[in-house]
Amino acid sequence: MRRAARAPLLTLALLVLGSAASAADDAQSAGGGSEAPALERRGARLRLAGLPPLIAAEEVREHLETGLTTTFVLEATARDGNGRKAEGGARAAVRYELWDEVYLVSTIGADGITMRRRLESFEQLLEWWRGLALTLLEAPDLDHSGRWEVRLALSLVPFSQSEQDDAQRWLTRSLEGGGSPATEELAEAAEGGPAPLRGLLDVLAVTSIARRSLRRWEWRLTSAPGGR
Amino acid sequence: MNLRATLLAVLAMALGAALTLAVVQSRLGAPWLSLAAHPEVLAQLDSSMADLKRLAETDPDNAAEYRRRFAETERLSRRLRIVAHNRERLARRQGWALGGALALVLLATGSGLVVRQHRDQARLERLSGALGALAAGDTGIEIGDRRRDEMGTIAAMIERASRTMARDRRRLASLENLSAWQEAARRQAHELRTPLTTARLLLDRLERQAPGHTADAASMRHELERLAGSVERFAAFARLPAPRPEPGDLGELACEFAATFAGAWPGLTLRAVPAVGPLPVAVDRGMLRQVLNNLCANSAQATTRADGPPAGTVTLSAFREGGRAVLEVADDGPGIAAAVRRWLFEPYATTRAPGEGMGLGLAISRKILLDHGGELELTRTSDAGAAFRLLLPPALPDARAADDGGA
Repeated sequence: MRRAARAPLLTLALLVLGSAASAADDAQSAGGGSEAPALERRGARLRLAGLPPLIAAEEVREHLETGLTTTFVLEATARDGNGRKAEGGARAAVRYELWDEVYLVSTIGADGITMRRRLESFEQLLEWWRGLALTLLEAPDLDHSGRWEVRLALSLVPFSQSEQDDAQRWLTRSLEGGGSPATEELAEAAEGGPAPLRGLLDVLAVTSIARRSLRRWEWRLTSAPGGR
Repeated sequence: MNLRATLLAVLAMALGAALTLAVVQSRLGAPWLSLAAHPEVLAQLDSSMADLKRLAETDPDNAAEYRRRFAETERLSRRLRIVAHNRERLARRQGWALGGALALVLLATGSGLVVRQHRDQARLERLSGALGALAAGDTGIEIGDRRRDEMGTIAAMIERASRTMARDRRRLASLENLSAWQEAARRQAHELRTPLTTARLLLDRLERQAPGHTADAASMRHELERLAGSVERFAAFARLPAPRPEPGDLGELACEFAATFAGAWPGLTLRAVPAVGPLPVAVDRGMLRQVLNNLCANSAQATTRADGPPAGTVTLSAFREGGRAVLEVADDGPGIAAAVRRWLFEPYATTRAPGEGMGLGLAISRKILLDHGGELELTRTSDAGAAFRLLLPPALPDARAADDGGA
């Protein structure tokens, strides 16, 4: 019951995130090579059952190993034969722990179920990725017995919200004349600089540092009831 | 500069500033971001982190410290990568911010210029109107522009010219009035001289034919002599000569007068205050002395008490004011009544009893000052005394100028 109530909120949050990501200048509308994601239908629920090995691509992999939290945002739009539409999404985050050289992954689906794992190697990460199973949307209003046309988009967002906030604060302090690791705490305590200038720099930093997707992949798929 | 020219100038400024901003932004603004997040910097940080990990392995005792430094470096690396990711956006926003600030400055400057243009236009219109009024002969012009710039200076000059015109008109009117009075005096003197001479001759004959009436004859002669004196004063007023100015120092002339005439009026003390600096003037010394004599005689009469001789002080102070040499003659008498002030300088206006004066002293004195290109003014009067000012130009070019002025 609680999970059912939380699902629309999560869906909305994911959609907002997805919208921000989709505003990227360099978004691409190309399929991810010859392979396509696998989908499953169980009643009103549409699930992801696996993804093509996009993270093995050089451009994605080199980004994965920067130490930043790479977020993969999935946006799904389903239409049944009557033209009715439902939207949903899910999210997967990957952070490479540079000291321990392990991948810390977390996921959240449209049903609100979260999962965290620690993967020891890239091979394990790739295996996890290929078998990634996430609820994309729950559509009780759609015709469960017919086929659904599904439009699935995957966006790669290079860092997390908390990392963005941290960079904004750091940049603000740097522009105000502080910013070195040794003086950060002092700068934070002093809040130096003339207030109007500080406010302007804050606005400049806050509005300039933003999460935009680096890559975007889209697929048009068909989902049949009870199968892939 | 009109409004259109101002707007064009502001537009040109804006274009110039925008061009400068574009150059500065491309050459100085964006590169620092590229420098901060340069791949070599990031590679160096990666290398540093790898070194720290190796150090932790070879020196396990300090592994915690290496880990802490590793975390700091990693944090910096993450931040720089995020900045690098947003480099173009940051540069763009920075340009917008600078452009916005520049636009605000330009807007404020432009608005200021336009407002100033409007204000200057209004001032110019006031000046133009005042000049028109001056050209039309208006002498009561008050523009009220007290700013210390060119237009303020011009406004002050117009007001000054207006005041000078007013003074010259008053002076001209006075001279015309005095000329009329002089002509009347000349005629009166001429008309009186003949019967006066006849009366004197008849009196001489009567004295010879009737020697027994000596007392009556003496009384008649006394009256005839008084009449002759009046006729001579009429004639003197009518014949008032043109001044013959000589160079001199007004302060020294005042001191000289006070010393020479110190005992001329018993009970009246003459005091001269030395001038601070030289006060060169071109003045007819005899006429100046006549004016001072008239004023001091008036003061002596004003300070005379019913029961005795005059008891007062006349102070002569020479100084410079508004480019003119001034000699102030102030007494400590009872002052001049308000009713008298209106006709104070008119001929035949007197407060003395009949027979004691003809009221020509101040009229003649003023005529003398006017003939010098100057003025005689009553500057203050109260129960504590009265003060007259002799205003003289610094110098007269030559005697002919004075002659022309007196004609």
